[in-house]
Amino acid sequence: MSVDITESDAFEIRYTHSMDLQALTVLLDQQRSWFPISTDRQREFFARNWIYMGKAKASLTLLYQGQIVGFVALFLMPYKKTKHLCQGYIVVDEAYRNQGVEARAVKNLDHLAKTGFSLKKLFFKEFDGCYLTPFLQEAGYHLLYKQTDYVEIEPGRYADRGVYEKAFSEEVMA
Amino acid sequence: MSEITFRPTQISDGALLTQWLDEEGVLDGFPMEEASEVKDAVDYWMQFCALGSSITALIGGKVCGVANLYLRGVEKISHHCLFVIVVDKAYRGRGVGKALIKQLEALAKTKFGIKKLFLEIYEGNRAINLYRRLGFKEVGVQKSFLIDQKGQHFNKIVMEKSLK
Repeated sequence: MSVDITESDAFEIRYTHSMDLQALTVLLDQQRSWFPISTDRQREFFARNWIYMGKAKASLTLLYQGQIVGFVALFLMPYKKTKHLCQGYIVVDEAYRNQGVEARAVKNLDHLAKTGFSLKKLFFKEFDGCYLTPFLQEAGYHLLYKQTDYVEIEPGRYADRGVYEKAFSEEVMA
Repeated sequence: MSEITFRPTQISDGALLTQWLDEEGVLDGFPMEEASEVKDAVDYWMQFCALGSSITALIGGKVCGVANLYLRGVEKISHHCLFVIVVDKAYRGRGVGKALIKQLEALAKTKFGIKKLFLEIYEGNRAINLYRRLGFKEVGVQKSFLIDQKGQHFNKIVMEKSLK
């Protein structure tokens, strides 16, 4: 890591709002490889769902010098039996990677999960080779299992998907 | 014993499905708990009728089970699919589940070009023995995925089977 921009006063985090849709769309487009998105329509649909989480205060926007550099979100689960856990999502602008943003994103999403939603665990589903995986592991997420050949990166070439989880409460410790 | 036959699921089958899920103990094996959650889940399932990915089993002309492929329409993950199956309690132990899964596997392979099926089952559900017998292998467990009103924890088990 060259410089940690998250230490700067120019780095800020706020709740995501609907005006962020365009910026989120651009970031998702940049990293389609790491999301189950194949077409522009699917990207739009996914981005709108993400923004919807912002309305529930479950998404944060990361900014540096006033420019959006990433997003984190909790995709809240629809059932009462699953209200104690959630899948997390993170995107970081490729121009701002390895400058402290990924680690800060994970830290803030953990905090939001614990304090904002009283979640007992959080999990991520990451394709092999995803730039975020080392940061999740550094933050204490451990690999639960892998599903082989989960995503077809290009015709005939597949990558596995790993489920990474972190428990915030001993009650649900894996 | 009457033969098991199949037809594409019709939206009207949703009422029976709701009724089966409503029976005592059935929801222990599902994430839904309340009537509104069951309604949402059944309504979502019935949307797949239009895609032809849901099939209904009948014995003697009576609906006894349904199974669905949750197609996602995302090209790069369209080679595999999550499925779910529900059999009327009154018809359990008569081979309906096995026949439905075999039928669903054939549908997945021939109509949708699916190469791998996977399922999510919660610990304690005896249907896991059927899935094992049909060649599904456990690939992972997520502990305490469900916590019910009584505070009971249920682990989620993910199983897969290659259709190649």
